[in-house]
Amino acid sequence: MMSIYEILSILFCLIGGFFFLAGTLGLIRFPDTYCRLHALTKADNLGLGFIVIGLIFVSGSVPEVIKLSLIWFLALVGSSSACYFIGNHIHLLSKVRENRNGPDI
Amino acid sequence: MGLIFDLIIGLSLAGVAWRIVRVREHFQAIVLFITFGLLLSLAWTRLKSPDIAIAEAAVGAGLAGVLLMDALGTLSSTRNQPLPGRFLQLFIPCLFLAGLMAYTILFIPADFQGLGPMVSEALPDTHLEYPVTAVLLDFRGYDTWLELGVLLVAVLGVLCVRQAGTIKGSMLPAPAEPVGRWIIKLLLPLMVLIGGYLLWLGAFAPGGAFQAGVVLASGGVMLWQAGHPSLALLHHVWWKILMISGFVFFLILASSSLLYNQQFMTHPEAKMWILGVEYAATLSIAICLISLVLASPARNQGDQRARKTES
Repeated sequence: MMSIYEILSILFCLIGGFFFLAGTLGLIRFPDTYCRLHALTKADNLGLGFIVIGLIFVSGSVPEVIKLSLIWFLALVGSSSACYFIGNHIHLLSKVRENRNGPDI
Repeated sequence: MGLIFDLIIGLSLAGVAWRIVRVREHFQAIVLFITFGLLLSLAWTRLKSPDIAIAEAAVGAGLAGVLLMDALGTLSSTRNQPLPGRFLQLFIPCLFLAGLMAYTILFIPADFQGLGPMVSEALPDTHLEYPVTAVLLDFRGYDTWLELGVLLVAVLGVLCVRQAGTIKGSMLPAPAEPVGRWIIKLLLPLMVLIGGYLLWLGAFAPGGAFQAGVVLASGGVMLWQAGHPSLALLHHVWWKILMISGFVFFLILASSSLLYNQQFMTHPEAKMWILGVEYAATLSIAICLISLVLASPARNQGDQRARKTES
């Protein structure tokens, strides 16, 4: 017989897995880089978040909970900043390309 | 269930390795190499070796990826030819090696327990609580010492190629965008904290000098990427002293045991000795790795370009 915590843990991990699956599908199927970034960061933030919540339900101690939350927090910071850097780079690249093709230059 | 997971990891490792050899673009190959490192660290986790998993994720996937990306700046982005006709030349030796390794498994006795019992028997003599740290820094101290030497030699090699006396040059200009500055403010204290935590953890749990050194080094790489002047503040004499500190500290303590009329690399105050070596090694690993990234060829080319425009 499973305890309520284990059932909740499995449920949240499955939801997280679903978001990862959806994000991966988006990464493969979406047409351009901005859309792909959108799909990827959603998968990172929500998917990892739900899995962390799921693991918190079965974690044994308070330090473990803090460490798991820290992992999610760092992944949030990392993925959103990386998304910004990639998006900014693509934006600048497209600007350079427009200038090159423009009539003035 | 575990078997299916292991099979998936093993097959994807082989698949990714195959793709690394076959892809045309260097960039793709590097991204695949980072993926390979992450998969490998998963495999180590499945083999219940968290120490190697952490080291692999930090060095193999993280810092090696940064180094390769830096090196990419000087290379042409596509391979000239997609490795023609190398298939048999590569495949047959690989198959032969794999066959030999599989053959050795036949000679392991069924009740063989590895070196675990021997290590746990000798563990009380080192006054350490964690067997991996005891093996790395005490029983196999030679290996770790020479690994530090290898890092040092790598940095010296880079200096020779660059024909420079010191590794430091001008820092990159600071990024204009606010996100880069913000993320450094947020992550750098955490990185120092986690590096220290991993180092402290090494005495009784998975963690240790290499992992901590790599985390500190990645903090330094981030500072460099953002063009923060704090790395340049460290005087180059200190830079060199810190770079060799791990190797030299190891050597001094190892040879000081000769004064007590004991064998080389044995030590009466084992725990203090090991902790001292570990702290020095962490610092010098961090500095060596930062130096390797700072002296990357792409950066070198940038310097040359700057020199040309100056003259």
